[in-house]
Amino acid sequence: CQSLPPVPEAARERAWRGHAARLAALEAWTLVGRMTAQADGRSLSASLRWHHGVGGDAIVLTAPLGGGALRIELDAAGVRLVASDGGERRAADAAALLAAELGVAVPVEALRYWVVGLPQPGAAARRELDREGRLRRLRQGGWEVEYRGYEAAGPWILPRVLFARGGEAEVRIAVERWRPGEAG
Amino acid sequence: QEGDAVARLAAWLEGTRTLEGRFEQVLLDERGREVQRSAGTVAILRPGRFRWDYVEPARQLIVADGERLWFYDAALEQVTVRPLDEALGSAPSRLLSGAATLADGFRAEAAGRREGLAWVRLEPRDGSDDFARLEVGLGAEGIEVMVLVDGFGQRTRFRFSQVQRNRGLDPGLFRFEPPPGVDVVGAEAQ
Repeated sequence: CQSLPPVPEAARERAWRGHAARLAALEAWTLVGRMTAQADGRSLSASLRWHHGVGGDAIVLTAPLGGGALRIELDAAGVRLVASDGGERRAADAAALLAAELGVAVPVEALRYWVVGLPQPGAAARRELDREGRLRRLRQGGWEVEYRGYEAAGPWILPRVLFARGGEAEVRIAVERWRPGEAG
Repeated sequence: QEGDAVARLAAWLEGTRTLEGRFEQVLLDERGREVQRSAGTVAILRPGRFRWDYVEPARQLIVADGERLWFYDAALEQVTVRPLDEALGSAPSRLLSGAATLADGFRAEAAGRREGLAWVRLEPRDGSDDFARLEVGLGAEGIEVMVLVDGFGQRTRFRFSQVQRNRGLDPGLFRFEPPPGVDVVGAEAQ
């Protein structure tokens, strides 16, 4: 097949800046999909519901055949983990709490940006852009995030599938539905 | 006539060796709003073997082979596996796969009629379970609807159709072979 002409780096960077600025203006969103998380032999598969708003994030993980739910709440003060049996834990360091509880150190504060296709602000990052100037690969905080497809949701272009690897740990997310602009 | 819904459910489960049919699964949030909908085919060989083959909205497969529980997600290109007893927390598989008889697994009581079905409410006997209760809707042919209510008030609702019971089933349905090129993760994976 006729190969596409290469898109010069400067054009990709320009496209990226426009894309990133639009995403940064997205203050609220909800995503529904599926997630797996694994680290040294321990694994977790769940249906994923993520509500992001100005005040913070509420993430609900539900076992594939129902039952077994876990709620992760993130705000400026830190993270709160509520199990469906009512048990609750709170910590300032989300990754450490999730490592202790789920066995996988999920960098959830960074993941909240990676999942919409942005690097976490204020932390060094190395990025590789696709032809449309969107993230194809991102290295940040010892993790590597690989973007495997985007989809349009209203005026926004948001990731469909992403794989994040950090040392022994890995988190994979497949988004079934984005609802930008809706926090909950 | 009320009380015998429990007896009918217990007899139906005891008399079920194999089950095959289509299912639709809907997850409703704590305010009853639809979060996620999926559908596919289900096959059960009691005790301890089942296969949930999701085709909507994405290809996923959950297989219990009698010892281990396999989860395959095509889009995530990953298989996770864990020992069956540890993973059987979720009620639908435990109830249908016969890991626990109705009486010793659950407290059961009749819960009236609605939607043309006779309902039975099941509460887990041991508190460690991760769901609050299971509501089972019995039609003429047996279980038609199963609603699992978890501790947050979320509902996972299954509707079964085209159900065939106690027909010959290919045991190969319950052997899981990870597709080539897919990562297998889990304590039992070696």
